[in-house]
Amino acid sequence: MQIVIEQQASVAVLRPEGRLDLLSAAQLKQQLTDAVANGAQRLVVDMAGVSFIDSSGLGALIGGLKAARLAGGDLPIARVGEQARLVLELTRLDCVLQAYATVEEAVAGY
Amino acid sequence: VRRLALAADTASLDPVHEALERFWLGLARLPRPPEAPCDAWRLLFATAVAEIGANIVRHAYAARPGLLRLRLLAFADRVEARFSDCGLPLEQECRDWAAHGQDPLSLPEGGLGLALADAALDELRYVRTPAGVNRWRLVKRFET
Repeated sequence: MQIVIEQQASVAVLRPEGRLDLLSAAQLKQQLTDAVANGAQRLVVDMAGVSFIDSSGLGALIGGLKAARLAGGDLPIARVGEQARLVLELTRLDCVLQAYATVEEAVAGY
Repeated sequence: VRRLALAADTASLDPVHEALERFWLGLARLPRPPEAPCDAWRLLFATAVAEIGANIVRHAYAARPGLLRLRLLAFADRVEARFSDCGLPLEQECRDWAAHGQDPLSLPEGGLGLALADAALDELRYVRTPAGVNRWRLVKRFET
């Protein structure tokens, strides 16, 4: 999986591309925890390029969220696709992960 | 009916996703195709199928070589996915996937996937046969 990281103001925006499943989840989780370890507290995951997410992918997002909150930050998500939205609702993680329509709104939410 | 057998040690679920795509195309070509389910309905079924496939690769075979069989079937009122594998049995603590509490963060690793698959389906069943085969049956009805 390709994950582009972009800095917008003081926020690190991660853009995973493709299926976020058992093969790629560990990579995203590692990048999220690395970003937090390197001092980034304000993170956003742009989900526009994620075509499919499973429970492993959800686990990576939750792992990143926990790491960011421990460091005093947060991990909102943006531009969530239909399948990811359904999955977040079914698992009730939509109550845990704040979702925004655009990356700009997520960045402005800090 | 669409049948698929793949080596679980590839740890790639591409064949499962591809089989689903072909299954939907095949459904549309039936002489009397079922009333077209909406995108969300298909996405939920695909999500559940991918979850159980991933569960077999990750837990039943635990990244060891093995064969995973998948059959996708269409009936007048429902679609079904039937998986079988000869890996480890599903751990007892994971079998009551619907009974986990309301807090998704409290689920054990692997438990979230089964709870998700169950929520996406009308029916999710697991049996371990006396011959040591794991069988999963996933059911999604056209009208719920």
